[in-house]
Amino acid sequence: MLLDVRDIYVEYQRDIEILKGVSISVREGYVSSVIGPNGAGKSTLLKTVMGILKPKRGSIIFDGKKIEGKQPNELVKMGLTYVPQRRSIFPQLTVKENLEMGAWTLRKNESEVRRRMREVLELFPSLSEKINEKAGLLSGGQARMLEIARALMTSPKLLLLDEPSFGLSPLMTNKVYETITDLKKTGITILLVDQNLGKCMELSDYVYVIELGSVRGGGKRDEMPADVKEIIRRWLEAEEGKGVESLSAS
Amino acid sequence: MRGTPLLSVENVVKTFGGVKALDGCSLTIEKGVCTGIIGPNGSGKTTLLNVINGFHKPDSGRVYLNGRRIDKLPPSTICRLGVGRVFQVTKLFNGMTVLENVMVEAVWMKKNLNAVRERALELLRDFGIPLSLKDELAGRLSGGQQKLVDLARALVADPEILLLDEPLAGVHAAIKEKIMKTVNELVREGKTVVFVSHDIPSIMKVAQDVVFMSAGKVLVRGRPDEIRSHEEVITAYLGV
Amino acid sequence: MVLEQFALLAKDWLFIQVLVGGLLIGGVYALVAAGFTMIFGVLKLLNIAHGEFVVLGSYVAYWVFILLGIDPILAIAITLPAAALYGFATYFLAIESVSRKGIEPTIVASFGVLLILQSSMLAAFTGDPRSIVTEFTGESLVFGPIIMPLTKLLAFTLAVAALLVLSLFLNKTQIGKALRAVSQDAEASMLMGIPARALQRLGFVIGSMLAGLTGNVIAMVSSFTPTLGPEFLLKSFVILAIVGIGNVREVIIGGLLLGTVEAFGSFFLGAGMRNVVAYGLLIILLLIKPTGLFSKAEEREV
Repeated sequence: MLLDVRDIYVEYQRDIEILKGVSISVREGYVSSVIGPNGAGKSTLLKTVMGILKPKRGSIIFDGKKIEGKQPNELVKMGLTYVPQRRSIFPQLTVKENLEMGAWTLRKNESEVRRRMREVLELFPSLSEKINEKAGLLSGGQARMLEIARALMTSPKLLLLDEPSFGLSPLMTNKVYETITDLKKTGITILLVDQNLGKCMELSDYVYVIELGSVRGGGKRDEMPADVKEIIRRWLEAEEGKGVESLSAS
Repeated sequence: MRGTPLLSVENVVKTFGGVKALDGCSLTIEKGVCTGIIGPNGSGKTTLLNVINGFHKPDSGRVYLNGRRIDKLPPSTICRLGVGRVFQVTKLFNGMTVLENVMVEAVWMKKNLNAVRERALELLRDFGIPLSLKDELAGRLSGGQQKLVDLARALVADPEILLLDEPLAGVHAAIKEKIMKTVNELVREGKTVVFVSHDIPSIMKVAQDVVFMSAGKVLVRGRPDEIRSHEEVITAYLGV
Repeated sequence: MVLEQFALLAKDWLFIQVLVGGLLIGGVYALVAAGFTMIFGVLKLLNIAHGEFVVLGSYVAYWVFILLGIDPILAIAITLPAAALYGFATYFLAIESVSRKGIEPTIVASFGVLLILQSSMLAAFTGDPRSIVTEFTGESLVFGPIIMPLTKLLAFTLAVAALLVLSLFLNKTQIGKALRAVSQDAEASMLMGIPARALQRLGFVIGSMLAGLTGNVIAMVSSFTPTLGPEFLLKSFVILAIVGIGNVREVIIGGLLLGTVEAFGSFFLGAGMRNVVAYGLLIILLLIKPTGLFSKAEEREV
């Protein structure tokens, strides 16, 4: 296991528990995803793994080392990286400078930074065209690509992605998912949170369902326990709007 | 095919620092219909909603509601004229509780307090927000839940026209379905909805009239099936 | 009467003379504002005590001159580390722990720092105006009809040079870029392993050093008292109202503009009206263009 989250409890301020004993495992070289209703604690889980929130109890083991309580900047050096749901580019810096910032932990090794930038830009050809433009001028989809590209600058072992297609047009959503599929082929391990269930299921090797701060169940996508399978089936139907009557004919 | 226009936007131009967000945008919204607005990021969809509800004053062009010109009115007046709004970037009152946030607009519009409260609780339940959270400060909810609270706030106020900006982004499938059903109910009651979303399957279900915007203009307009098979929409927006 | 003054302006190159005077002092204003905006950028903190940091710099230069006989230009080598020191001490004692509680408490804390520093300076140095008189003080360069006091020219040159160095640092070095990254999105910068807290500290210290340097050059050109601080704070506000929270280049333009407007304002209305002109400009700008004259128009959601 590359990442083992064991029975963690996280509370927001003093009294509301957001995660109540969550355990999940992320296998190296695969895409794992966490799905569930709004407020279930999915983003909280990612933030806790990344060291932005501290668990009250439980342990997180990454690459054989206990990491709970470590700061994000230490975790970046260990090979973790995180793309939050919200827009997080540096708008006044150029695309190139944004990528350089992503490689901050490598900055002493200039040739390595250059090599990484070449590799990353190969995965994101649309960014190389805009390399000297201010990142604030990028479209929503391009900005998301830049955020993912920037997170890859350190050659991370594990990439945490929170709603990568949030607010993007269908075309851009497809592009982002194509990119994630390409990334998967390079062998990087990904932990994904997305409300775009169809896409998410298509891409994931392992799926966990989380509700009200607890893991309802999960595992290998094609070998899921029957009850979890049923929950996901219902959600997928809802996503297609099966239960919604179309008024457009009237 | 077109019914009575309730809202009409005429030739609106709105520029931000040299960039034309709306470039001669004209559009009529029919009463009792859900009009879906789709288009690439940056095509001016949110700006259009902002012009309609008075956040932005157009550089030129006019907006009429029920034949009355509204593009010079402040947002508060437009709200009182029956135009409700749900935001893409949620704006809740973080220092107020969840329930207070849901009720605030309706209370301000002088609706019956008990009815408002009941409707508020019903919507929270529908949107999967545990009632145990109703007295928590709104800022404590997750991002997705805050969005749902904002939607509930607008629904409780029961406006004649509801402007929805990406109400489905980042929302769980089961709740998405609830939202779509709620919109259907509104339309059946004769309310008017403007629904901006990238969620094409949902738009196709919920809207009777779909508008495709590009570069600050309405490019194509038609029934959902017409839009879905429109070549320009496919290449510029949907992808294959 | 105003007409007479217009006539006067046209005569003897007086127009150019007033303009040059305004531009020279404008460079110094830009330097104050650059330090202020640096601290605001990295910490989102309006450092109300920024003017006191300036005045402290003047006193450092003054005492170095009086006690050690060191020329105020060379005194910069002492003022800069001294300003770094009092900036760091302030940050460590009054700002850092409060800043975790939010923005408002931090502004209140910096207001406390203003009162403490001002009162301490009054107690230690009295309220008497001080000035540094060197052998250059009375000297002027004369270009035809234009007279430029040597000290003012030096102050201007130093200010512009410092701003250029700052601009290079922020745009060309990795640490400078990281500082800009932190000021745009501190949380995101932490996700790349950028030590945002350390850089915020650094930003505060750099801002203090810019303030100290300003104080030093001001001591070269005019007299000063412990209560002069808020006036520099005001100038920073006006400049930021002109350019928005922007980059260094824009701050220079804002400084020169303010200096020029003030110079012509006090020419027409009398020197006592200098601050009235500055305040007036601030209020007018806030009314017509609250996001800054050069800012990229309104915030836009798409």
